[in-house]
Amino acid sequence: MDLHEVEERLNFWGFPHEHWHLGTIGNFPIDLNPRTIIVTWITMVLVALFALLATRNMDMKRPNKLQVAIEMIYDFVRGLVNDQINDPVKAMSFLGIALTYFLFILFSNLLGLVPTLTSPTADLNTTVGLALCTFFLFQYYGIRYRGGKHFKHYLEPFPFFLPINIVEDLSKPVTLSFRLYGNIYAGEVLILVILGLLPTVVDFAGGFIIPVVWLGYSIFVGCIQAFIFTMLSIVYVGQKVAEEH
Amino acid sequence: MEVGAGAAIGTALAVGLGALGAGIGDGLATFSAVQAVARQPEARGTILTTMFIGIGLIEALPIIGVVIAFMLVGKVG
Repeated sequence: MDLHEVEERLNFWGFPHEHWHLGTIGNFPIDLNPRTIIVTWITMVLVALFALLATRNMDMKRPNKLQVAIEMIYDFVRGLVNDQINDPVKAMSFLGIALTYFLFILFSNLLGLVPTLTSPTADLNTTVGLALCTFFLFQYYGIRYRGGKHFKHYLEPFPFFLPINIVEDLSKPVTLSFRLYGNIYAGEVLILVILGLLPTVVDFAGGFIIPVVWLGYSIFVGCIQAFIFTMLSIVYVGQKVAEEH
Repeated sequence: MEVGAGAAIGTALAVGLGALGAGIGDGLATFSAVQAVARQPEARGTILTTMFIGIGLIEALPIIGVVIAFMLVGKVG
């Protein structure tokens, strides 16, 4: 079966196909992809609900299960941040966004594996947005904590390294966004391909093992990609605010 | 050569060469990680974390190749 046919038959909730047009700025049309936007709203609601429900009636002696889960995630991300950024004040100021990245990207990657939904991070717009946030963040942290010396770092160790340093700085958001987009989008397209192959694979219970195996691997990839995005953002900020040695 | 034939060859080349690069890169990274854990078993957590970061960085470009292959598969035939 053709991929577009499979997508059509899987469009259970009836997401509209054409973009929502919101007018233009100069020559740029502002178009929103309805599928991505609606699923992003669902992800936002889920993350907010998870955080709210886990932190109500917190108890140190007898925590409930959601509280244990969010404490594990918080400890994990705080360990990552403290390992990379040595100054505790700077580390704590970055902990909020690192935890947000991790929770949001984890929930969005895993949401695409629910049978009729898609991931918001399977769209290049979301991942470029997140990567641009990281880019502006590490420029902001560099200027705030290093002042004018932040720009002097581009001329280190020799002045003719300037184009190399600029390209390295520009390649960070590009690789961050494309890595996340590629992993999640490729996983989703392969789910479509496998479902399209089902009439020819096996017609009874054995035919459902392959999609299940691929879903299992996609859960693993979703968690790993969330971790890598968070970790790399922390490393990039850590490089910019590092003390001189 | 028609567009469909070129797209088919392009798809296979993109995925195949990407998989080759990813396989060799991941193999080298995991080899170093396993050696390091063998030398110092108590550093297992840090080494595993570093290995996952390395694999994430290595696999970025082959995954971009796979996405380009998906874009080309639509043009076959």
